[in-house]
Amino acid sequence: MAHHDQHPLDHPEVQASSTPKYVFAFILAMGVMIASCLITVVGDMSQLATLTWIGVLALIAVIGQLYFLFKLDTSKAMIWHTVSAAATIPLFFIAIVLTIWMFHHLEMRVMLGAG
Amino acid sequence: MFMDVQGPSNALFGRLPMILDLHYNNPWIMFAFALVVIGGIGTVAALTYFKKWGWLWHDWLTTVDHKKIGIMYIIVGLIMLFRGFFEAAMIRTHQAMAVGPDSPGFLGAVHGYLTPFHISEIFTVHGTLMILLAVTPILVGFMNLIVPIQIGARDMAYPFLNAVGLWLTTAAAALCMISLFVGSFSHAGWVGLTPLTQLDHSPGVGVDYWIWLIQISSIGSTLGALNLIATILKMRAPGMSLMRMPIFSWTTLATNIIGLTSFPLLTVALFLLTLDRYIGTHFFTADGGGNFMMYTNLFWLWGHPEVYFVVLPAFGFLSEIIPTFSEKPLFNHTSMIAATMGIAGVSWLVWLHHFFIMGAGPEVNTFFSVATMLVGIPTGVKVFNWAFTMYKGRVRLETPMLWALGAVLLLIGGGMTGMMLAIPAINYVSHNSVFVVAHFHNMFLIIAFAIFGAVTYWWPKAFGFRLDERLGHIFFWLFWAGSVFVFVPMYALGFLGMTRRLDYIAHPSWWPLLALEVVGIALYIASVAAFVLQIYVSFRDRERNKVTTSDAWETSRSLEWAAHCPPSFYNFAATPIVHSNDEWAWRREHGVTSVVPEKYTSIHMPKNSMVPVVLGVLFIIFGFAGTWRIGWMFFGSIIAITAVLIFRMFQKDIDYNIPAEDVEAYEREKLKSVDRAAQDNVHQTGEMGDAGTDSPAHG
Amino acid sequence: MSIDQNKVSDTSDIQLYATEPDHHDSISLRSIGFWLYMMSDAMIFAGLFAAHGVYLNAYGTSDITAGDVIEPVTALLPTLILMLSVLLFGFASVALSREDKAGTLRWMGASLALGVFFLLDEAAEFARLALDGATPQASAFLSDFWTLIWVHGAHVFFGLIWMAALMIQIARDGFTEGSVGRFINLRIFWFFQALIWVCVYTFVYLMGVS
Repeated sequence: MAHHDQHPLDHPEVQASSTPKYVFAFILAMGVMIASCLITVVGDMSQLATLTWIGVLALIAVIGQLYFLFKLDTSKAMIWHTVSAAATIPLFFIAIVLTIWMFHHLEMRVMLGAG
Repeated sequence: MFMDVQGPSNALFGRLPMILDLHYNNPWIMFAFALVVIGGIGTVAALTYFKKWGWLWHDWLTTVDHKKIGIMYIIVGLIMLFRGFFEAAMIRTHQAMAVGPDSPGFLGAVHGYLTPFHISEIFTVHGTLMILLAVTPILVGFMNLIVPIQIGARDMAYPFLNAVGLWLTTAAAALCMISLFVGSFSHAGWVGLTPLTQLDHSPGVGVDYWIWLIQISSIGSTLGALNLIATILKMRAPGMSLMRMPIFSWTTLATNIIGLTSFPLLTVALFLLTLDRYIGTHFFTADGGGNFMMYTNLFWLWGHPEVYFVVLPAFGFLSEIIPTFSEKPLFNHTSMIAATMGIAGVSWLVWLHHFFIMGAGPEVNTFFSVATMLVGIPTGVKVFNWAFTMYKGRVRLETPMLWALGAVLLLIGGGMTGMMLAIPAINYVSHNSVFVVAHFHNMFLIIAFAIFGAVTYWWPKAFGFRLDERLGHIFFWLFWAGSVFVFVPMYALGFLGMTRRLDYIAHPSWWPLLALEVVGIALYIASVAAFVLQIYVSFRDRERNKVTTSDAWETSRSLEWAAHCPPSFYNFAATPIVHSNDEWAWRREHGVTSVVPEKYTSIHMPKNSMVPVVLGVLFIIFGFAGTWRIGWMFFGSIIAITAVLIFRMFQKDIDYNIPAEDVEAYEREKLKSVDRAAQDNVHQTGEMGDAGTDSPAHG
Repeated sequence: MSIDQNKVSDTSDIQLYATEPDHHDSISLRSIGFWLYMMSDAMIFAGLFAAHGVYLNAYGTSDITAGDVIEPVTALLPTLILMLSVLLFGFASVALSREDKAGTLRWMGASLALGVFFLLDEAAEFARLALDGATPQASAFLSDFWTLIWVHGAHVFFGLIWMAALMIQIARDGFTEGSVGRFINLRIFWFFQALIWVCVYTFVYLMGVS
């Protein structure tokens, strides 16, 4: 290619690699999943409390990974990555939550609460 | 593991032995087949006679130039549009003939001339094809053709990927054409309602054709969408901040955000249906815990955003055409951007209005009803902005402006009926009636009007000569009259209670309205003839209609009008620097319309590649093997596609540099040819042949 | 209006065209495009998770329930393997940033091996389920369970093919703009499938038994 006036390895997305952050992301993800597993298997909370807790823990793991693995931030190199993720995540939840909400009502009304 | 299928099948040929049992006695198929064969042989003969095969291969099929890809998208789309139109004409004439028990039957039909299965196929193809293979490619074609020039870029962000997108769309279109002659197409409506599309209700290959061609075209759309988003985000000329970007580029951005995030849901819906049909899972079955309402939900999760995917670029066309022919800047650029992004945002919260009657209850229906009505606000903002742009402007009723005004008028009708349908109480009554059909055709006509406006508006940019104005007017008025005659009676029939997709009309009292619709179809056919004639006449008189400046309409506003007509293959000899929302208008007002840069520099361009064409062929094989359940060919094509992608990964010689001297020589040649054509009326200034300086008196 | 705001009285020093060849940061350009593709891919999983929410208890006439096929504690092992594979790919990325070709290839190889191990473990697990009659054809819940897991599995599979091809390319050509750009995209892809797995583990394995 003719137009690189810098070596490809000097690119900010290459230089963003960092051993401590990757190790931390690994420990965070594993820690969260083991904690969720313990809550589910040996915990004696109500079902709603369990679901809420594992949901919150998963959210922590996801945000941690987005930050420590993908290095999403507002720097010039990453700003559009961050914006597109911020735009997609609401759509992700809209698709899931509204679908489940709709089927919850649908099943109560037309399927005799089955399903 | 795989589902048992009806009819003969074996490991080597899959279900293909089935075609030996099919009887090709349908005269319509024979007619279409003859048309395609004659057209194909004619094309091949012409290419051979004029020795154009090398030109076709090197200049077009293997190109990665966004302008040529855009033009090819539009050509594929127009061919499909023509086929879709033909089917519409068949549906309308059949329905007008099959009224009442005494109506005669022809060609094996009891009433009218199409058998129930055949008319079901026809309306399914009509819907699938018009939305996914006609309107979408044409719009994507315009985005390809215009957006990079409009934002001052050399090319798309990923020229190679762009070509792949084109060839995937073409592969889908090819599968659609193959289905006409080999086997049959789906008869289950373009939405493919389950359980009708399940194997036990649709044992043929029609639904499979429908699934695979949509999946292939969706991959193409996804690749195109991410390409356009990246182009807009990363490739804008210096000075063009996002808020200075022309509205068509903004609508392209919004549209492709919608496309990128919604097409995957269609992929999921069809993938799960595929699993049901091929390996017998229970997603959308009645037994085994399946839930066929889930299919409808997933389909419309894509389906409604898709509506905005196609309408937003049309709004973009209008936002470019109206200021040009009102000789005024677009009223309130910022609110137009906000309205565009607002529509894109709300588009995700409305899908359930396609199935209010499913019975999800008042709270759910109310939420989606209110969200649907909210769309009216940004759309209203747009309509008022267009109106205020024309207010106190000097409106010139040239052909593109006629189409734009027609589209705005149609938007009022389509928007109002949309508001009615957004109310669940009305929806319960009118669901599945032709009132709904009239409404969404009304909305699609806005897009069609905007497309024809855009074709006329950007034609000189793409080809260097204008389309014939008189025939353009005739085309417009015939098309307008056709639209009124077809769809006003259809609204009325909807109120009378006529349901969709009928192969037989039981109420003789509806006949007069159906006959009126046939009058509309006749007008449409005349309008198509006028369009073809317009292109022929304009091409014949291309020397007389030649555009001598970069600004074909003399009052254009955005940056694409600073490039030559047609643009050089690298778009701009030097990257333009942007100073204003309407850069070209700004330059014209400052009298700095030189298209000659101070200094030429080298230009870096991608090389042509045959890989996209090869991928297109492999995807046709993939879809065909999937449809006919030829296992080895199916998995073989996946392996071949992966291998081709890895081959491409190792290709090194993929781009080249044009030295500054060559650019200068090329530009001089280009300007000289323009000058020669414009000898009569161009006020030449200086030996550089400064062809862009003759700006009209303005303001 | 906009024109008046930017009105310039002296037109002699307006610069109309750039005088330098344009510069493109091709690695950034590739990575944003691939990231956008990942956003699209995320929506595929949104559709599958939405379906999962609806098919959670859709057993039909089958007597195999979620509790019979899902063992969250056992599933911690493949989870650990996958997360380790991601960690090792991170180490490859660190080696790349230090221009350490041998180190990059070594860590990529280790990451690849763990990825293969993950797939084999998952295949063995699902073969056992199939032998027990818990096939995708048995009920809507099982259809959904198999599909969700194996759509993720297909991501891992194609990621591994990509990883192997990229290793060959780096070994042959070294760190060129092309191979480094691909490495950045593969890193996004490999981290992304791990992110999806966290969601799969929580919302399929844990929610299935809670």
